[in-house]
Amino acid sequence: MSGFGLLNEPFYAQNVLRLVFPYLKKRDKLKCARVCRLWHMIAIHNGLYASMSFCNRNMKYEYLIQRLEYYGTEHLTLKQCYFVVKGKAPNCSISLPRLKTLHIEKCCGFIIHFLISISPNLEELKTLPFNSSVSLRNAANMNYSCLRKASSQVPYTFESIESFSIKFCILTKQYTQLMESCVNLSKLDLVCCLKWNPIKLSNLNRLVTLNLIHCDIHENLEQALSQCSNLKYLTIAPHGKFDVFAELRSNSIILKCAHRLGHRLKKFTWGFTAEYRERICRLYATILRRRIPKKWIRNIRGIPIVLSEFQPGFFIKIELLEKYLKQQNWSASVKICKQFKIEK
Amino acid sequence: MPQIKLQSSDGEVFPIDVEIAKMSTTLKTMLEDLGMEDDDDEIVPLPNVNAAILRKVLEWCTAHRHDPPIVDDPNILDTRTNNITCWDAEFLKVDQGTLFELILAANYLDIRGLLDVACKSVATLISGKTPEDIRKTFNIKNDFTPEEEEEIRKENECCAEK
Repeated sequence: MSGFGLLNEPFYAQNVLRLVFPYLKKRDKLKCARVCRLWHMIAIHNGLYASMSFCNRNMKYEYLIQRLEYYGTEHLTLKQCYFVVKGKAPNCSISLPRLKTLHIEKCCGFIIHFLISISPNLEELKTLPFNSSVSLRNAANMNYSCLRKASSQVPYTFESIESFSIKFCILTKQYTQLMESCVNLSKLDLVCCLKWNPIKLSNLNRLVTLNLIHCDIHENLEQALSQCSNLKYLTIAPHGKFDVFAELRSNSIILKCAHRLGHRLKKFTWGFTAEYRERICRLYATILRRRIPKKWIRNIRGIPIVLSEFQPGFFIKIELLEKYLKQQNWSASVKICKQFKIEK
Repeated sequence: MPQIKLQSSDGEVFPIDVEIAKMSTTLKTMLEDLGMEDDDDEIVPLPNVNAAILRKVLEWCTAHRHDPPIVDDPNILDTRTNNITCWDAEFLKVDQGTLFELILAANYLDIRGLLDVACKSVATLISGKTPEDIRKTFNIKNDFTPEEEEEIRKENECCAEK
């Protein structure tokens, strides 16, 4: 009996490798996993893939989920991973019951929410802040005991979360759902968030403070905010695009909000850059006046509008605006402004 | 000195000292539970171990009869592979089939020291080698497609980072 090649046989391979594995370094185990299919399976069963970490990877989320399911991964770390989401929505019938700890750094919010929603036994979640791309910044504020309580039902309700801040995100449907499920939310910060529908805010009855900094201003904002009956502190600073019309539109929406909510807000902050405030504000306001009914402007005067300074650079360059206005023959509106002033 | 008789899977009977038999946790438990200590003529059948391997196992046990028992936590393994004694190294200079059978027998009989040293000698055959070298060492057929192999290599990088 030479036994050469005996480890091709499932019986020997399984029993011998199972016993030998603990004596191998991880590096060597990983080499073993690459030997053949049988050895790969044995490696999986011996928990070689219990903790995985993906760094700087660009992949399809289906691929990630499928791997995690196949390997029975318990600890997952994702750093700076980009996920391609195409076509159909994620299939929520998959579940990762073995996933216990999840560390996510610098990845899009979509994957965080998606992984949470399919991991009923998650015990630990850490997401780290960062400054240039997308993240769920204050996830550490979430109390994850609720994750354990929540059964396999999707989506979960995050009752214990009171403060939630989302920065630099594209708010996908999943993300908005997560926000919506925080029923006791009292403070919400959205910074540089795109593509969100404010109508979801109307579910947040206990919302007291809302900060919208450099976000997309959607037409529904006024209606949504009017349903947040406890809203007291509102800050809105629209992001500056090189599109005057978009800016005009968002500013007129803000004015509408101010008009509608003014009587019950304790503080309303309308954010501008210093440049914006000093040189353009008046010009803008006059343009706005032309586009919205005069009665709003009158009503606005009673509201304590605080013009605060935000980081310049996000906003339109004044020279560019003036040039643009000239190109578009906006001098007429400036004239209107002068007339208006005289009238006043 | 009291003796017991062990019968291998192929029917050969080995009379051995109880003291040596007790190096196997499996036999020790059995003897204690069944109260067979004073029983002279009882034969203990070992259906999973053949005569050649049992002889090897008993050879090892006899040589190591004075070793201090390993009492540490089975979860904490001494994974150093460079502390195999000369005698053990010489003892384990056998073909792979025998080595694997020894591992299985040591596991079945629960002889911690033998299992340790035999596993370590297999581990030394594996460690530091490339998958291709491992295949050559154990004469294993590679049944991965090149794509699969590449995929697993990539995934393994994800595990190695930790």
